[in-house]
Amino acid sequence: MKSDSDKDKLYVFIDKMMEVDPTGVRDVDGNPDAARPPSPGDCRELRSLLRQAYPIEQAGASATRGLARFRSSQWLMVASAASLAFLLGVLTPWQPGEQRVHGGPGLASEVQQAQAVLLHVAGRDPVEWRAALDQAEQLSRRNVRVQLLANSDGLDLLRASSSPYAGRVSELARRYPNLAIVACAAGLGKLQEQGLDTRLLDGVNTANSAIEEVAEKVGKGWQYRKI
Amino acid sequence: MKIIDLLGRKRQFRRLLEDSQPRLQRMARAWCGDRELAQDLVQEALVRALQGEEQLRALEKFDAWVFKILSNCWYQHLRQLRSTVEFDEDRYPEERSSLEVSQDRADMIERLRYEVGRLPAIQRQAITLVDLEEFSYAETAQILDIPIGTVMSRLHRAREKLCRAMNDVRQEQAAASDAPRVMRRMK
Repeated sequence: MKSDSDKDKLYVFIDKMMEVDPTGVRDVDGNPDAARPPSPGDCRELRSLLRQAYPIEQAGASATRGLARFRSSQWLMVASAASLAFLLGVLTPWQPGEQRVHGGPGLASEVQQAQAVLLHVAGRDPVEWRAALDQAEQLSRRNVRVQLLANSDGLDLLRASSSPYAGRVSELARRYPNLAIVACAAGLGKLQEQGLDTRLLDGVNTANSAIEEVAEKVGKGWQYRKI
Repeated sequence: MKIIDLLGRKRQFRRLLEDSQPRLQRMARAWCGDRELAQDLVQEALVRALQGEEQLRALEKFDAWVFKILSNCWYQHLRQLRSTVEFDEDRYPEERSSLEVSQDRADMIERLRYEVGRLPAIQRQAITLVDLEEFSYAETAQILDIPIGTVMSRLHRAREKLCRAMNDVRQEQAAASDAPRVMRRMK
């Protein structure tokens, strides 16, 4: 039984063998250098160049920080809640149909078991925006806790100066207390730097970062739907 | 005792997820060539990983597992793209501000990024997983859900193309550095 590293050595050996083209037909444009297979030195340099071309950026650290903050500040709370829920689940007999969301097929059937749904809009397509608003309304009517979260290009749905559905967004926020409409503050900050108007529609709140919000809600057991 | 073990595992899982994010971001950017799209892909992968945490049986396999999720997100994006418009590889190369070759290593790197963007997506994935993330061939095969021989052949083709492009750059740089001397002799 060979270990993975032994197998890899074998594959590398075979790979090197493959670099030799016995037919010599790989000569491109008659250029002898073009036909030369990459040497181990070439591969090493290529690897080094690749790492410089794609450095690990700390820009993604906002997401990391988000998770870290979530972990440190709320982990205990979530864990406690989960333990409590587990114990309650053990101690309480299951009552069929009690958590069922009544309604027709389609979205409602998909979220029959969901108590809370996070709808995430990040694109700029108004058709998607309308679908997100439709889903938010449909779920809100069924007393499911809903959060409509927008970031990136999806923020245009919630900005007063750009939303084609301004009236409907505000109306939904006003009508359904179980629906929260939230914009990513980090994304708004970027738009502000570009000189854009970042005033939000009535009834829209902000969260520090969309990814933190997603991590937190998913961690709490919310059903996540990217629109 | 089992609950404590479970909580400890969850904590470890989240730490692994945190640590992997910068690497996922780099990989996604190498695949798609676009920083914002890369962020979306990583975000999607993050959510799927959180949702599918129970599917990961051994935390030792976390890296391959999470990169496989990212790869699936990338495929899904490509499929969606194909369903609307014919996929155009040229859409992905980024920062193509100048292809003029200079003697500067920075230009070499920029050219390499351009050439990576020109590779077929399947070759791009193979070379970045092996040469950037140092996944073994076996792990890469697992992530991409392809036979190990296919990993090898894709990797070989990708390396061959990139090395050839780098050689071209070197030759052009050498020619450019020789040019002024020729001019002087002509005077």
